[in-house]
Amino acid sequence: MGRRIRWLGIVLILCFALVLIQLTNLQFRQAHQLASASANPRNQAKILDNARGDIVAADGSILAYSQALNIPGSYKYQRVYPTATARLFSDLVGYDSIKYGTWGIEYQYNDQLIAHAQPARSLSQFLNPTTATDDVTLTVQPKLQLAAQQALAGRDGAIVALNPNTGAVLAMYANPTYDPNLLASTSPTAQDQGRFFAVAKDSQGYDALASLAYAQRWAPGSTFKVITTSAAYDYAPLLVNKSYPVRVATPLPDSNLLLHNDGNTPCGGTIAQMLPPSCDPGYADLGLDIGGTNLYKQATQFGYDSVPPLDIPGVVASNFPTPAELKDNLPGVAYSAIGQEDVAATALQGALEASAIANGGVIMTPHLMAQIRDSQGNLVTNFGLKPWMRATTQATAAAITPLMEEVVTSGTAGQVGFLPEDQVAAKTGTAQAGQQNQLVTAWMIAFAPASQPRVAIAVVLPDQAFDVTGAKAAGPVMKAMIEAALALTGPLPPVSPAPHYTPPPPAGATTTTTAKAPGATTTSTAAGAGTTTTTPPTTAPAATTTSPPSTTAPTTAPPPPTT
Amino acid sequence: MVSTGRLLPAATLSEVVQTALRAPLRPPAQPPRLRLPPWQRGPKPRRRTELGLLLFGSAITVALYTIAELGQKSRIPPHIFPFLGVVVGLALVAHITNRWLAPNANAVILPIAVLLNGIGYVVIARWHPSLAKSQVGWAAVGVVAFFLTLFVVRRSRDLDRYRYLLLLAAGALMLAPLIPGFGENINGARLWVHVGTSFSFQPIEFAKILLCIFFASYFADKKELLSIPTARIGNRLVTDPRPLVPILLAWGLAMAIIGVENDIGFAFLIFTLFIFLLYISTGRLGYLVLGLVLFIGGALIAAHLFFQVHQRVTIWLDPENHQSLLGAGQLIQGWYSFGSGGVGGTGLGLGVSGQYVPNITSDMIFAGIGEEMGLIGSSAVVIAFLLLVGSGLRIAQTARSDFSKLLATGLTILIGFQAFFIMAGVLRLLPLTGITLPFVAYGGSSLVANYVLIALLLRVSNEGASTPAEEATGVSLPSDNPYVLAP
Repeated sequence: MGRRIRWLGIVLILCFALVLIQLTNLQFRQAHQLASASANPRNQAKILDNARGDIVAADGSILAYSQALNIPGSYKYQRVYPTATARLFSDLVGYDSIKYGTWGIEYQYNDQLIAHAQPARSLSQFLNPTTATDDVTLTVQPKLQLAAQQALAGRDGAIVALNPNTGAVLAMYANPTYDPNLLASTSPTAQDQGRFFAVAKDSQGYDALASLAYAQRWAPGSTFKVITTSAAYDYAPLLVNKSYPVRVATPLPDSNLLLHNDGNTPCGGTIAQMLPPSCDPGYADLGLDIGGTNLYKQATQFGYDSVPPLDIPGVVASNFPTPAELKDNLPGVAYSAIGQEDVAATALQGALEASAIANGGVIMTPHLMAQIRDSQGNLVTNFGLKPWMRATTQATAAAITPLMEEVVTSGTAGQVGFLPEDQVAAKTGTAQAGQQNQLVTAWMIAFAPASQPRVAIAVVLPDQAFDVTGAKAAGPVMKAMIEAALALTGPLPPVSPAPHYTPPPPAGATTTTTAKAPGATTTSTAAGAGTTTTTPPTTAPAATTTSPPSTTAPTTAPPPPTT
Repeated sequence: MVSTGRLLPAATLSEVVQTALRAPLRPPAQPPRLRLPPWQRGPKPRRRTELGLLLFGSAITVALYTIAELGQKSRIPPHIFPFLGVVVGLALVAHITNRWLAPNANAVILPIAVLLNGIGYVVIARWHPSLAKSQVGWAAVGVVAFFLTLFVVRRSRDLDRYRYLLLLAAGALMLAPLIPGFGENINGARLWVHVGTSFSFQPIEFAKILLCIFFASYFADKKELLSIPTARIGNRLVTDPRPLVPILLAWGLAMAIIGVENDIGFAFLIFTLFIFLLYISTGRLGYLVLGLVLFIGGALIAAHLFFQVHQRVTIWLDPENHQSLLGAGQLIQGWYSFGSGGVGGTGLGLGVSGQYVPNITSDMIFAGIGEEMGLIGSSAVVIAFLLLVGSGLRIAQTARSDFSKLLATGLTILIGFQAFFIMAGVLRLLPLTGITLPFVAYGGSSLVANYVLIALLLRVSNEGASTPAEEATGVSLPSDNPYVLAP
């Protein structure tokens, strides 16, 4: 009997061992999976507690906030996008939807907007961590955004305005828009409805979610000649003063094609003579002389074929054919040099091109976030100054700027009526589009004032009638934007040379500049210069930038305070 | 080896009935003289160990209670000293009971039971403070029942004498919930009895002990008949099937009653008890195989026949896709609780199982422990039960009669498999059955019955233990318990 009792003991030990094995399986091996499963109500409770921080525009107006609901068993907060700005900012702010997730800034800075663990400031906070939401302040100026909306007047199109010195997006507006409030509703049917409207195609085949500002591409047309020109300066300086024959059309090699000038007017000469009137045959010949490989290199330096690091989801890369694609396609090289055929650019890319010339050849990282503050108002992070690409040399940018000014004074944009005191430097583009080239995409890129650029803008109006030119359609829009932007930013900041491009310093040096007290001081980490710049006195605490003395490079002025 | 029953194989149903009828009618030969058992003098090393372990267990309970309150309300519990007093007081009452009535009994069982009771209380108090109050009351009743059991049952062989009476009592207890107006349906199982308006209890918890005593007594009595082939079929000797008739009848009756009352958990438990005791007393593997076949067959048939059994198996195998079925939610949520606890647990008072897991203080209490105390805490509970089972089987090994051996084994099976079934059910190793986790889960009947159960185990342990006198002399005394027989 004793032996059999021992057997029973073994059976019981095995039973309990099974329990221990299963416990280890659930609490160790599968623990993370079970704890993070979406069906685990602990996570659903977190979802129900959907507190989010505010999204604030540069002038302090609130673009998104969470309103307490006080309905037991339901979501604790309702995300609200104030009706005055809901559609105006839908491309940027995005939405926070229960069913469709997040988009836009709501997606990009979700981790900061949702309640998250706060760094401990005391022992009790360390032992019992608290969670809180952060607020995100954008660089976007609602007045400029509104001006963009009014300038487009309901037409499909996009406007992107950047501060070329910092990469800050001052305005980014595109039609069509959508109402994020429907998507943020707690009612599933309203969310479905909101989604339906957001992805519904309009008569021109565009939908609101794939923003025309950064997610749609069109042939950039003659605006690309800015890049072709800088390619000549950078890669084939001998061509700068080469005079091309004055003619109506140029025959393309390896084919029986003739490339005609717009309006069949004869043109030619040196680059300086060809850029203001936007001479197509001459630039085709110039592009062939520069060669596909160099054009490709220059285009990629300007940001083609890489996704611009704008802090928002859904941004697409602009396209320039690779050297392999252009190798045995000389007509393709000619067409690419004037921004046709397979060249495709976003409105954002157009603005980055303008800002490259405006900022001495350096493209600053485009960004929407200005700073993030915690719920107590303490600064968590600000974006700082981050160069993205060295597009061209400072000398080339300086050489191209007067040519672009000539576009306004005597070239294709001459009839737009830019104010002389605004010193606008621009380039128009009229790209053929549609199945039988029966439509045109009207482009204009510009920056102003040319002597001390404060804003770089791209305007694109797709699918215009065939007789429309870039200047005719996009010109008035650009004029309105330039005037609104220059009126907005007030008096010119003190003159200082554009920043010299330096390779990104070691990680951490440029990423975050912190302030001890909000808005008191900011420390620039761009390559040091011997000048100390102070912004003009404003009502806000003056932001002073002090850089360590250095002999090599000049520095940039900080962006004027935007409050 | 002591054989207390008759050697004749004439056990029939009529004998059961006659004995049952005769027993209460027989006038006592002489009026029993109430004589208190003497207080054994001299050192009691096992009791000293027990006292130390009890104080350690009480300290753990109070510490856990404090941690839970700190986690939940960030304060030291306001009634910590009264609480400490109650915990230590109850432990001391049980301990002094042992010093008096079972001085040489196993030193581990009572501290483990008290510790499990304390852990259970902390978890219950954390989710349902009102239930916790009555759980304290039940613990007190349990300790009193512990005392009464040891006081009344002076010798385990007393139980052997009243085996049919106990069987009858077990039958009555099991039938009680079926009486209209008396029984009550809770969660589809009819296993509750109402007395008055506020008091209800689960008679099966007590019936399981009575059945265990009956099985042990009967198998000890009939083990030769059950194991030695005496009947002849053709030219083969087989075991006489007749002694099996009453036992199968008793078992079948129990199963039938449980079946009608829809309590699958106890049906499993009683079946396991029956099969293992039959195997251990006879040593014939055939019974075990037969039992296993019967069990699998019965389970398959039951799964097809009874809706509730079928449903339980369905939600056991795939709760995710049968969330509409009753009981699927608690299995799914139980797993999430274990997973969310991880190795270290969320910490007592910081979990959220109570909001999501139904029956967190009864069937699913193990999941609550897993969440807040983590793998470390849940393993500690499993190991505590393993120690309890080990001690129980050790008592069975040292018991001095077949009956007490089988009794200790049976009681250990009850507590061990009951714990295993519910833990495995919560972990989805087995279909979930609504039996309680002994000492831990909320439930008055279960708590009191399990205190009675360990009292009986300690009684057997005390008889089987070598006394200090024996240890000194090296001579083993033949009697059940030397001091009881002493003049």
